[in-house]
Amino acid sequence: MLGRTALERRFDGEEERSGLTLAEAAVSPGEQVDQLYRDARNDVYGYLLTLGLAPAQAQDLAQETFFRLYKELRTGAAIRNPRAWVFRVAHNLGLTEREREGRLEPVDTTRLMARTDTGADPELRAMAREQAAGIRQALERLSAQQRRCLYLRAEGLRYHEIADVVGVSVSTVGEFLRRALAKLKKVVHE
Amino acid sequence: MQKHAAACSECRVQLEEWRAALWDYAAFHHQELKPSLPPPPRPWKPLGRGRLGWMPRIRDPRIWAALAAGVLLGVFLYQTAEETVSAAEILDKAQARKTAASAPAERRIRIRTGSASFVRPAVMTSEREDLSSLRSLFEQANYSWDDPLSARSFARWRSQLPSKEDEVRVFRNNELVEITEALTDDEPAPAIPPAHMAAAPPSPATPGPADELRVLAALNRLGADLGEPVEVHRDARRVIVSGLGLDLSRQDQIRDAVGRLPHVALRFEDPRPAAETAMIAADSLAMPVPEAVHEELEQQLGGPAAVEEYINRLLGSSRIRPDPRACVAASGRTLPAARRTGSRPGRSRRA
Repeated sequence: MLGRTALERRFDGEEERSGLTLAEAAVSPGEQVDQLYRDARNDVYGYLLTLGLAPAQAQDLAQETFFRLYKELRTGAAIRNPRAWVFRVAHNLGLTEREREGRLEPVDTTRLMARTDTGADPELRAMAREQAAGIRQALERLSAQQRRCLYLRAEGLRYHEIADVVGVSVSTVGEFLRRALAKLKKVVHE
Repeated sequence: MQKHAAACSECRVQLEEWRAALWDYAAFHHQELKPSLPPPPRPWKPLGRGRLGWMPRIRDPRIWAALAAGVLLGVFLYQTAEETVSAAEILDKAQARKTAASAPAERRIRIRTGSASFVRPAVMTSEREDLSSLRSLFEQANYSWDDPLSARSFARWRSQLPSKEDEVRVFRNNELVEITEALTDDEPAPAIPPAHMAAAPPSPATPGPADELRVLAALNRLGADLGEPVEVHRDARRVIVSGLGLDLSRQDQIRDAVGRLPHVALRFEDPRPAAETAMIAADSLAMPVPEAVHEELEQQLGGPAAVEEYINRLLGSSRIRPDPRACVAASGRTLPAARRTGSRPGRSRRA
């Protein structure tokens, strides 16, 4: 499992706060986008997969997302959190692509989890496998909106940023996450 | 919310449970969910210069100014850079060109020395008795007399120099010899008098800048070109050297230095008025001054100091300072030579 320190840092928003307004930064927009592209392209790609896109489509849209970020910064726009910005644009691009292809059903990412824990301790490995199975079951009971909110929260976005990405209010995001975590807690700790 | 959670144990416990659930999901998210996602089908393309074609944006105007200054400096250095060519290389090229070129028609050159000017063939094919003295100068300098303007002659002369400076203007005896190519064929060849050059050869009828420069150079050697009232100007016929108020010895020096140069006319003037000249003449007649007269003057005026003061006042009242001895002489009294005061050096006597 991921260490708590790293998780706390992500949830406390330290990572996202490092992305100050790009227009105020000393480096050029190209260098900023290059850095963010290397750091977050797999995260955006994974999120696009959760929207039900094929891997090739998800990869193309991920690159398109960062290209749009660069064009936006070239116009002098001030983007407070570029990481949240790319998730929002990727979300919109993904939904647009899905609607264009008429695919309404997202890919069930919960069924893609077949990874085997490689921990050394067989007992811990068995416990982790059992916990992962419980979470997977809990995720199957969540709505698509709740899963997206949970996914984005785990990616470090804050409530208002998740609200921007998904297109709902901040309070709705809070309610989605509260219900999703309640189900997860119930499954994991039962 | 944090305050409420701190005060409410039930809410605090619930919050901790949610946070624990979120951490559990986050661990699942990063260690199970994301690694299980299918990898990108293609390698990620470089987003920067490959697709976007952007250039690093330089925002500091000082960097742009430095770049612009560097470009301008480079252009300036490129345009002003002089290609270094050795004299030997130039001579080699000149000789090769001379060899490759067809033989020129009969050329003539003008040779001008400090006291003569004449025209001769560029390449001498026969001996000339009247030019023997000048020929000897060339031979002493190890320079070709027969073909002085050819690159081969110059290269041969240059090769025997211990230190090559590539600048030769005069011979060792300071005889200035100027050689130019005679462009007109209607000049008599040679226009040399049969006798020795110094005796006969007429210089050109009108003085040129070279004549004026010779005069200036001679004055410079004397130190007479700065701080002394000597002027040089050239008209259509002469180079006039005029001096104002110079003493006789200085006039003689200038006369010796420039008097032999061609087209030079000397004019020395004395600015003193005729009355002063007359007084000086009278002074010359009044010499020597009797001692008795000077003593009488001292007695009348109250001593030597009073005499000095009287003379000084007399000199100060005149715009042009006269010779005090002449003043005394003009007033019927003279000073002894041993007590002459106030006279300017070199102006006491007039020839």
